[in-house]
Amino acid sequence: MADQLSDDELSAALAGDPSGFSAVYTVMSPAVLGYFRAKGVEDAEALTQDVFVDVLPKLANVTGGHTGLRTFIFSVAHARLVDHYRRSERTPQLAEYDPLNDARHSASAEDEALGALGGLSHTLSRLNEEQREVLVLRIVADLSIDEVAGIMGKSPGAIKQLQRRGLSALRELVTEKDHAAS
Amino acid sequence: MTGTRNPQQDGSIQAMLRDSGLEAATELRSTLDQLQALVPDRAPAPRADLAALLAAGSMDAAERSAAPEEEAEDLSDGVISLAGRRGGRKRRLALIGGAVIGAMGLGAGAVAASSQDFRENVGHTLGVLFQPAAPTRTPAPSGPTPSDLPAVPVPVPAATSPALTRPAEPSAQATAQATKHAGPIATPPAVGRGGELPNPPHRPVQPGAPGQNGRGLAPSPLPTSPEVPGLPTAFPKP
Repeated sequence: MADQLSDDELSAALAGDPSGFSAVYTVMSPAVLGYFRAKGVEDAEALTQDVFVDVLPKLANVTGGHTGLRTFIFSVAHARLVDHYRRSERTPQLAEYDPLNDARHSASAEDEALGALGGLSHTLSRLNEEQREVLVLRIVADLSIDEVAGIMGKSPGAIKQLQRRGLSALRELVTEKDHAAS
Repeated sequence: MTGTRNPQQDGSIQAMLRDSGLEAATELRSTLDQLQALVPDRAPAPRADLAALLAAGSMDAAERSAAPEEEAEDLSDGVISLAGRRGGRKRRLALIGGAVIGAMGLGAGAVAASSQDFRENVGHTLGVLFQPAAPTRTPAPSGPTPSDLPAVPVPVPAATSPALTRPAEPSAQATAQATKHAGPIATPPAVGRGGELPNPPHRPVQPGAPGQNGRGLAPSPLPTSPEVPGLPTAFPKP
């Protein structure tokens, strides 16, 4: 995670001053990109940039300092992601030939060595949608329970519950994977 | 993200695990670390539209510190400064307006200068304006004083027919005749038709049948007919 916004940059950005845009982008975009990656979006960078093109001109309306800015950006990212899923549901799925989907091959050593990241998104994809969203927002976006509750439109108690269940489910999946691997 | 992680975030994962009673789950901990490692170290290179947005921000900052001339050079490629064009547009509109008005004035002046009728009309009007004294001119429209009024009606026939032959003298003659012939009846319509003076060349054509004309001018050509007869024969043929 990159360094924090300085107070000057933050106040400039929240005053709607474009000079703060660059700092906001530098500090916040990695987390947004990580959020989209964790959600398994194909073109996570493009979606990240969409979010910032959308967000930067509207910063003047944001209140609440650092946490307010973070919550605002991730609520836009969350909404963008929902849009993205809806759009991808409507568009026909283009299936290229992917050698990895071809059953007639044996796993290479590189695949096994680099499989950590792909394995993670695979593991996450087996979680309940809401549990996964809570975990990603809590860990990747580094938001508090209350902020996640605001973004997802739920009560903080519900978010806590989702987090606990999500962690337990993830733990089961991880241990199951470890057992299967060993 | 490399292995270096600030303790605050470590603490957040730790706190999450503690909240859920899963502190001891080391494999879960490493998975969450992997999840956090999805956040890249650096911001992705901005796309063109986003770069323009960010450049606009840095340009604004530069503008506040630097002179406006340098600001134009700070623009990133693809972003065109419109500042220089804003003033020029108004100036161009004003120039075009001035040119149109000037050309219209020139054209109107040329037409006026080329038509002889107009020149004579102006001459007469000026004569009418400046000859009589100011107090006598105000009652003129009602036509009670024949001394100055006939000067106006007479130009209708007189200015047309002699215009081709003798420009200056007939007016004096005409006034003399008009004082003899024209009554107050003929004067009011002629005053109103001062603007139609260029047309009348056709009117003397019908002195024989004044009734056909059907205009209020019918009485006035008649008195002047003695002068006219030479012309009407020349006009209708062509």
